[in-house]
Amino acid sequence: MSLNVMFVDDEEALCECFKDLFENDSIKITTFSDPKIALENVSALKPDLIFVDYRIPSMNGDELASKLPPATPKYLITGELEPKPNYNFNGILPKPFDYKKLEQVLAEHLKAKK
Amino acid sequence: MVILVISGLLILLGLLGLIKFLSFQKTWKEQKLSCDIMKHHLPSGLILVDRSGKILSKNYFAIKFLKELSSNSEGDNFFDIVAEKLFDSSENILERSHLPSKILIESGLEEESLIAGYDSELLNSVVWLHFISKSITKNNILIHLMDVSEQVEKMQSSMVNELRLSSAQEFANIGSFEVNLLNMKIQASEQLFKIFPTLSDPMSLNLQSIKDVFVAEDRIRFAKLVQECIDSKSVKAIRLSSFEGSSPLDQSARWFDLRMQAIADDAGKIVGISGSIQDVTEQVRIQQEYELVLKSVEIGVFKWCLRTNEHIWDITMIRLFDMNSIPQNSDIPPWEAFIVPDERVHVINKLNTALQKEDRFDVEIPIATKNGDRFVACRSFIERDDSGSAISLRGICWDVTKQKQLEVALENEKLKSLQTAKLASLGEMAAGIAHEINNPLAIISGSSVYLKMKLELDEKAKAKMQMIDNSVERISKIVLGLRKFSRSSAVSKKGRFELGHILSDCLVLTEPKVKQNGVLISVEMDKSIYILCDEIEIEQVFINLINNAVDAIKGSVKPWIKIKAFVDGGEVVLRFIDSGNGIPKSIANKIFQPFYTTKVVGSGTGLGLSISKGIIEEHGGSIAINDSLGNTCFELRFKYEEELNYVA
Repeated sequence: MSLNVMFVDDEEALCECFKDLFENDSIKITTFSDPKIALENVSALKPDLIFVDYRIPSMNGDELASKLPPATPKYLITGELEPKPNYNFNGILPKPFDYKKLEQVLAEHLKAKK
Repeated sequence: MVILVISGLLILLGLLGLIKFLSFQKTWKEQKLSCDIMKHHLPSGLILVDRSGKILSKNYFAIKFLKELSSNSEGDNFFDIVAEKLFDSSENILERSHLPSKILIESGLEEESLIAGYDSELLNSVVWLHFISKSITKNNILIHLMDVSEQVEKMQSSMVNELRLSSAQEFANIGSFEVNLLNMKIQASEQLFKIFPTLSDPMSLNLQSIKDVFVAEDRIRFAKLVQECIDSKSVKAIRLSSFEGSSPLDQSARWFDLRMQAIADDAGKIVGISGSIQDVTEQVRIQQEYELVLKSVEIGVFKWCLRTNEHIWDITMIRLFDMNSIPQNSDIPPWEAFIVPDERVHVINKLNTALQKEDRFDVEIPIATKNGDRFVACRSFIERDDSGSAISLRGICWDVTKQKQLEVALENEKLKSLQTAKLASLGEMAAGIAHEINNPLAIISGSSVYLKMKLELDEKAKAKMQMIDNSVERISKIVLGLRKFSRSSAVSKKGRFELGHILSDCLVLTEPKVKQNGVLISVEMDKSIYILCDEIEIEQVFINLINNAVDAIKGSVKPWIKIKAFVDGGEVVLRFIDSGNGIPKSIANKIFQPFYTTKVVGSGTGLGLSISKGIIEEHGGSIAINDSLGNTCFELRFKYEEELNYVA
């Protein structure tokens, strides 16, 4: 079983970077730069783990998270200096990323899935 | 003259023969009287009449007088002759009936005297005659008459003068006196006795008795003035007082202006002193009231005569400028000496401009006194002569130190809130910028990780990759540092913060400037020290101190900054030491004032240290220059709080 990861960030280069770094045989990553499209696809995708950017022009991280399946673990990824999300995320990962930390989060959830 | 005397004597002899002839028994006294009259009152006439007025005998001068008097009547009755024309000093024609009582004496040897005048056609003026009549026998009267026109006229004019003088003296309440230094006799005008009712006896009046009118210390001044008068021959003036009570504010107190001048004889020898004393009690009382009002509002009054450079200051002025006693006018040091040295040139320039073309000189003068720096406000009027050049400056001064301090405090408050507002907007901007920077940073670092994973790199390339990562980290730290500002827009709160942590944050933010200027910076602290503070505010202070230090030492050889923190008794001491040679003493107490800056115009606002001081004092701490280390050192002290550090 592979870990199905959803990554939403309006920064397409970052989406690509994330996918390049972490997608492998056991981790499947789908990225969206538009939260609306992400919402349209979430039911079909059935992700095990979701990363959501906070500051997205059309919809902020709080709003997006509240529209995503509540049971799915969600992490906030943000460049804000002092993120204060209303949504109760599983964790906050500030940009620029500590990639070791990201790797760790992914590994934890992969392990849980298995 | 000799002829006159001889003929007078001849007539007298004739007369004496006549008297002898009339079997008149002369006494020794009568003889002496006649001799005296002849001796002392020549030229004069002698007429012997009987009690009916019949002229029995007359001498040459008498003939002359009688001839003119009797131009119209040929009679030889003395009364008829004189009654027709004589008038008294009030210019009333003397009636015949009055004459016997005025000139003739019923009996005895009493003397009568009358001054009467007549219009002389010959001389075309009034001739005044002095008649002295003596009853020498039962029936006969000897009348001595002489021309006293000159004396009467003199007397009349002097009387008029005296009358004028005395009314003037009364009006001005001035008494005058004249001392004869040879016999110490003193003559005084009537008004003097009115001024000093205690000096009722003109006979016993002397300098001592005038002197004794005044209070003890003024007696000494009086005596001194007399001596000065004699020595200098010029007019000397002085104000003296007399009072019975203990204070010059008593109702009994009176004041007098005394003026004296020596009188010299033709040879230049001082023979006397003339003086005047004016009762100025009224004026002084008005002045006292005025001064009292000025004193109660603490307003000093001054006059500055520009030509003589004479300063006239009242007591409040003297107090304002913090002088202990009332100096003589000439002893008032130049007022500009009181101005705080840094401001002196500015104030003097302002004064010179005003003197050239303005009617006023209004200024606030910072002055240095024994009790510290003060501010004196001055409002003055410039008086000019017809040609427009300034003659004098008159005005008032008062203390505005409190207002000034308030103004400064207010200004500081304003600057601080301005600074806070600046920080707030910087914070807002920081938040926006941080997000914009962090996204690309995430891409760079992510790509770097990817490249390291995918590429076979040699050592140099690996080092370059590491350089990318380090740079990302550095940018990230700087952006993180801005976080502080974004938070400061919220209400600041004090908390427990570790000094080392605050310092390392400061070093991150100041690092670019420090490195750019080649400054070696180090922090020395032997243990973690926690203080209760508003982290952002304190960080501001530290950054400011570091920036100032860099500005001061940049360009010098091997510039360095050392930051030392340690606990000294109950205090946390934090020293910012740099390689500079210390702050010059002349500016040491100025650098904490707002707008004080040594930096080139445009590179500093001069707000840094004054605000820093304000922040630190708000934290219950202090900031000062420590000049004991040889290098420039700003020393900060905070209260060391045991419980904060115990928990740690």
